[in-house]
Amino acid sequence: MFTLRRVCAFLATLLVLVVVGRAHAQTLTPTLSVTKTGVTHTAPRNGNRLTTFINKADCVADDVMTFPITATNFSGYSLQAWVGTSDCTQTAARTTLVTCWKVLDSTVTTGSSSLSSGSTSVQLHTRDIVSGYTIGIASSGAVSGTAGASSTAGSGGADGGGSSGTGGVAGSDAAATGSGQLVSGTGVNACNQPNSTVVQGATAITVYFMLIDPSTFNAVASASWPGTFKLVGPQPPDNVTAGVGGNLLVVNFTYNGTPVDTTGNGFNLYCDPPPGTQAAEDAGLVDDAGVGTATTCGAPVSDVLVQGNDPPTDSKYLCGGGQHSSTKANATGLVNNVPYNVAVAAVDTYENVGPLSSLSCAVPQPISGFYKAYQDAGGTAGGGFCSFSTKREPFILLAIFGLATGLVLRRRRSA
Amino acid sequence: MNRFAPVLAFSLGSLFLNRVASAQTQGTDEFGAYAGPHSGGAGESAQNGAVEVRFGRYLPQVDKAVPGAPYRDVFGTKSRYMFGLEADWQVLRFPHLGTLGAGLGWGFTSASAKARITATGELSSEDTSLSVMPFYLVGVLRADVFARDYSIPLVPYAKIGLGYALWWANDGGTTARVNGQVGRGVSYGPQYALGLMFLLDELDQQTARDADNSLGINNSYIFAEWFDSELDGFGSKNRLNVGANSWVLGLAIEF
Repeated sequence: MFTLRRVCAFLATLLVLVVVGRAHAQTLTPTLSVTKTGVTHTAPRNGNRLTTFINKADCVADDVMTFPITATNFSGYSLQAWVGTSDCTQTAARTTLVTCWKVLDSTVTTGSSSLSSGSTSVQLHTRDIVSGYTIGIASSGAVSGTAGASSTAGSGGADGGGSSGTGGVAGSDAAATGSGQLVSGTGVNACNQPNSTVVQGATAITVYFMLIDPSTFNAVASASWPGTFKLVGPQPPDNVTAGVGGNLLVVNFTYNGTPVDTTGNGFNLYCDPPPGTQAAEDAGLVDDAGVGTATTCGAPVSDVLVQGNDPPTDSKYLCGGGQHSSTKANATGLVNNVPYNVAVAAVDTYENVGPLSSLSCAVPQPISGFYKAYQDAGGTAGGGFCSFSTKREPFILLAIFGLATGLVLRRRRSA
Repeated sequence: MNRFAPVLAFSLGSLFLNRVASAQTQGTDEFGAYAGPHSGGAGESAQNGAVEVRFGRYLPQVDKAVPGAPYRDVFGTKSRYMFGLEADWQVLRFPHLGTLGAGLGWGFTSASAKARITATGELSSEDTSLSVMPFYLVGVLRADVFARDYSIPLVPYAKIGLGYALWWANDGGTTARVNGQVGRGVSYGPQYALGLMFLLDELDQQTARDADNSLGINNSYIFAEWFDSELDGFGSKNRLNVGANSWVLGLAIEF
């Protein structure tokens, strides 16, 4: 028969099972997401370049990328960002295979212990993102020690989890959890493309944001941002020649075969001396009246434009450009009868400018196009689409007068 | 060419005789009068307009208005061509004659060559060009009486009206400028044309009927046209004569 003691024991066991089961059912799953369309860069960039494209100038300028992050139920986990060419959410990729490098290691904090969800922004340096690839993970890890990848506390308004508020993450270089050394404060050497003579295309990388369980190093939640970087510009055209034009040179350029780099997006022309009358005067290539006297060019030689070197950083040498499909472009703004050295550099969709081509030299000279030939023959037409001469076109005047007279007469008759 | 001409003449002659004979066999039956497919009978949809796609030789008559020959000197004498479109509104139909309406046309042509170095006369590497975009508003008379009444698939037509053209001269890819005057302007003047259209419907009458039933296309043609446009501002010396005296080939549909 049942005794009161047995009944109490049974009820106590049942109570324990119910409580434990309910507690287990209430375990909240952490989530993490990154708003890809909200990613921004501090370095200047052309509006046409995708935010996922990182170039050498970004790296040299130590461009800082800001990622909008939303996390829920992150209490007890650390927020880490890893970059790699393989799936960094796999623990082995971060611990054993070492195909990923860590660029952020932060302690998740909340304004209150009861809050564990929120939105924030995480800032990562472009150099850190590319460094694991360009200078190697082992050596790049050695430069950690400064909080280069810190993040700021975010505002509230998180989703899910039933709690919201001023949740966010706080940067900390001391809160290293999980495996791997933090890559931070990487030097400009990280911006050099390894095997630059061989590598012609872009390299795909993925930035993984993860909530890491400190006891197991496992990622309990993750979000990724796919990007690509390219740290070298395209090779220049193999054949460059400059032809004579009026205050311009017509530069023809071709490749021997199909360019290996498929990211080509256009061409820049560089002139030495730079375009403009002042530059020609400064170079002593015009007389006192500002008129050049040369008609021929010597061998193309320039201290500024050297084949195989990067183009000059001073934009004053830029004298024209062409589209991706162009095989010729005009170098403009030049002074007639002044010899100019011209070189071409290819530009890619990452806005990298490649090395200079061989130089060509030519002298712009006054030319006679159709309109000048027409005027020299005595023609006077032109002046714009709206040009009109009352002296020379009495027909128009008569037509307008006749039309006006007709309207007046018609009105009088109708009245 | 000598062998081709008799064949063409024979073919056209046979087609003419065949059409006349066919027309003579038409008559009336118990349902009333009947005729060929293009007689404007009850089975044909209403016809209100026409559209032409035009292509032809176009040499601006620039050199007619100035001493010397600047156009020929720069661009040479080789043929240049124009692409154009025309839309007609066939306002009136005259029985046993044809349609009268208004036509609005547009075209584009461009000539380019290498400019010459002033000092030496040698060719430079810089391109110089003249582009012309003519528009015109014309009255159009299309005498389709032969096709409708006699089943002869030929439609002569005439156009007369005013032409108006935008033109611009470029040196090195930018608008030419000489002595401070920019090289672009407008020209206008009278325009005339005479042409002959061949009714393609005769080649495949079933397809022609289907096109009318499904798309409302009454007739389709190929045509040849001679035109003369004197776009010189009615003799003004201040207008570049970019008109032409030339021929055009094209396709036309009436709907």
